[in-house]
Amino acid sequence: MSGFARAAAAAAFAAHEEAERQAEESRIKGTFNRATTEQQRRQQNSAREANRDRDVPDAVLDPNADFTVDLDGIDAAKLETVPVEIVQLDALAVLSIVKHSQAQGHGLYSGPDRHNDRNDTSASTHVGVHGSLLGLDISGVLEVTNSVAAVGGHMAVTVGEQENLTPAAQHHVRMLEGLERIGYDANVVGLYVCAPMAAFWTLALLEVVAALQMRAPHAVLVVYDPVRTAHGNLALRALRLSQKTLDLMAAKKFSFDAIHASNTTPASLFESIPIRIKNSALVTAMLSTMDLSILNAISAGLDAPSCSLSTLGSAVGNFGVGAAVNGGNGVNSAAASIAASSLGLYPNFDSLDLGSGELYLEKHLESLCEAVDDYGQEQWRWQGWNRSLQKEQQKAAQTASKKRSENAQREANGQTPLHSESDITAPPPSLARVIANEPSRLETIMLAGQVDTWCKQIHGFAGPGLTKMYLTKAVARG
Amino acid sequence: MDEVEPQFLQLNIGAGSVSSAVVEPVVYLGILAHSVRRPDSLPRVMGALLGGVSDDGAEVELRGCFPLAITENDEEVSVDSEHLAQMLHLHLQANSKDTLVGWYSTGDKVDANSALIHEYFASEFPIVPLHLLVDAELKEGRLGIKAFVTSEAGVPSSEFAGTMFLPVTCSLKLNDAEKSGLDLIAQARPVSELDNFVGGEGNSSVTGVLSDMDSLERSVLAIQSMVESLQEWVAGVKSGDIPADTGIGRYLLDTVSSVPLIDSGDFEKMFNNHLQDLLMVLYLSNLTRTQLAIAQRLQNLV
Repeated sequence: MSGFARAAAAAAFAAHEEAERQAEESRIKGTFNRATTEQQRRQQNSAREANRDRDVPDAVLDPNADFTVDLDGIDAAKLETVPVEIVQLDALAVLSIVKHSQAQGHGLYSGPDRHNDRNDTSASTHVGVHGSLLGLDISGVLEVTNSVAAVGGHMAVTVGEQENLTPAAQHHVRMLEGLERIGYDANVVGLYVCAPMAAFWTLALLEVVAALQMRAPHAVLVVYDPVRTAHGNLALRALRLSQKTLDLMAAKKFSFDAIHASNTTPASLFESIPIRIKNSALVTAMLSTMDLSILNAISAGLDAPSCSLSTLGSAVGNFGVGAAVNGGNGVNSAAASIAASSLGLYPNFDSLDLGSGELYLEKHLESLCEAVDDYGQEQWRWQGWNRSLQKEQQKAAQTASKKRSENAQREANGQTPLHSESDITAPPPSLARVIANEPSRLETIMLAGQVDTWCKQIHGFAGPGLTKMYLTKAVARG
Repeated sequence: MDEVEPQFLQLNIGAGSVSSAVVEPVVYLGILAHSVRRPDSLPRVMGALLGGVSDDGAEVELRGCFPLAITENDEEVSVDSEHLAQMLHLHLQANSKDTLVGWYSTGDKVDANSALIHEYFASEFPIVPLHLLVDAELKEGRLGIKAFVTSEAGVPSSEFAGTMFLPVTCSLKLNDAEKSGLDLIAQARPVSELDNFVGGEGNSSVTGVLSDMDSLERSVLAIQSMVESLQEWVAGVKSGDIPADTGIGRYLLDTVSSVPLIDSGDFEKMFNNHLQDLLMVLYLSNLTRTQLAIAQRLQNLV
């Protein structure tokens, strides 16, 4: 019963409290008077909306909202609105995103299927596991301090009116309220999505991001790839839609000509923004403490905390160098000093794993094949439309020339022309119908972008893959 | 509970009660962020812990937390119970697997108010609450983390009845993805103590995202330095400068023998197969990209 002894030794007694104190238990109750009527809540929302929109020059502040910010003593340069150049994530935001993706069972290769997505009746708002980023943009740096997970796969960030909110949006609004009351950032500065294998090129997501950016010009999209992260390197990227894309989305015309005119290509659809990660001093202290506790565990000859050693040890063990740090008894301080030189919380030896690559590549190829097929189909659909367009145009030209020749004949006979000039040049209704039915070219662009992303990922994977293979060869020879 | 003799001092450590806590790093980060955000007037912050309890009830897994508005002074503690209920509801909606398992506070000691809050959680929710204490002021020069469960103590049903906070072991749990995340986060810290005081923009508590290749390079370099320091040690032992250690010797033997012995011919064959696969896929992906680029250009010509 060593537990008992320790417990008794370290126990903090709160036994001899006066009866008066005990009675206070009954007084532990709500002291805040919550404004809970629907009317007041709506006012709060509109106040926040106004707050969120303060970057927009023509934002209309709610007259009911007592929204005053003391700007004295703040560096004027910090208040200026400049385009976001860098996205700075706090450690909390990063791990919250990672955790959310995990909690939703987004393990390896269980991402949403593109086809199912499209057949889903409510596909227009379905963007998978996602949430919003909270923070502030200060002189070109978007500081993301926290993130809020959204419920369900449907869009929760409120981009429409505050009336008749979906349950997910309601959840989101309430969550922000709750955070705001404690003094947390409740300013939505972007969106994060978990896209296994970076399959983020979906129309649904594009629309959501466009709506968000039109509302909050500084909003960014952070894409987290759990699959690549499981390979030992955190895969995060920050994106935003380019101005061209926003214009295109606002016009809602995705015909060949419109897209050609705006010169939109898959590469220019999104702009990518560099990401950096920043730790508070306390987080730094935490990390150092973790390192320290690993060391203590080794030198004390105890079983390592489940923290890193067991996991690290097994990862290193895969590579065949690791047993020196794995396990428990009899490791004395000499061993600890050896381990100390290099064994912190990092680096992560998962990236040395040799076996995982096969499945990753296989899955990529599979998805690539599907996307290329879809691309072909889209292309074929557009060509079909193009053929019927040409047929109609020919027909119209024939009719026009027929009418002209009729007119010429009648003029030659000295009669008045049968068809007026405007009558001849006006396109027949069937042609107008065909033109209006042009399939959207946006899907093609998205597919092309997706294929391109996957190809780049394969490329990015191959380099380290080859290196690892030659490394193994060297080890096997040595 | 068994019949107890009222005259004796009691200490209940029931079978099946919580004996250890496993904490995911995001909980610590949440608590630290809360501590950073507290108003200057507040000496400490408190919040609720979310997670699950193992089937035998011996282990509590902490998977999340959220801040609470708890105001306290010498005389009174008040919990905004409505806010707690609402936030709990919202968090459980987002993470259906979690339940409320306890509460956290910053600081380095359990005091009388802690006991009151603990009782509040025990009475309001059908749980055996766990208390996580994080010393955010680094009193001992490190981030002290302690977890407690309570047990009844003193003479039951008398004015000397009370609660005792029993420490439970507290360990960190990391899965692959979190390890990768923390790995990168760990890079964003000052290398030397001096950096702590530099502050401002461009200090070293900031890092970017790494490419796969860079990340691999770091891992390889780390292993290399480990092997080097090991070689140094072995050389020292051989020359007699360092006393030999059988424990380390055994580990070294295990390590060396853990490298699988593969026939060099077989290895060559496997190696070449993999190489060809990889190059094939690479070629295919490059071809696809080129085709796509050509298609794009052709369309613009039409």
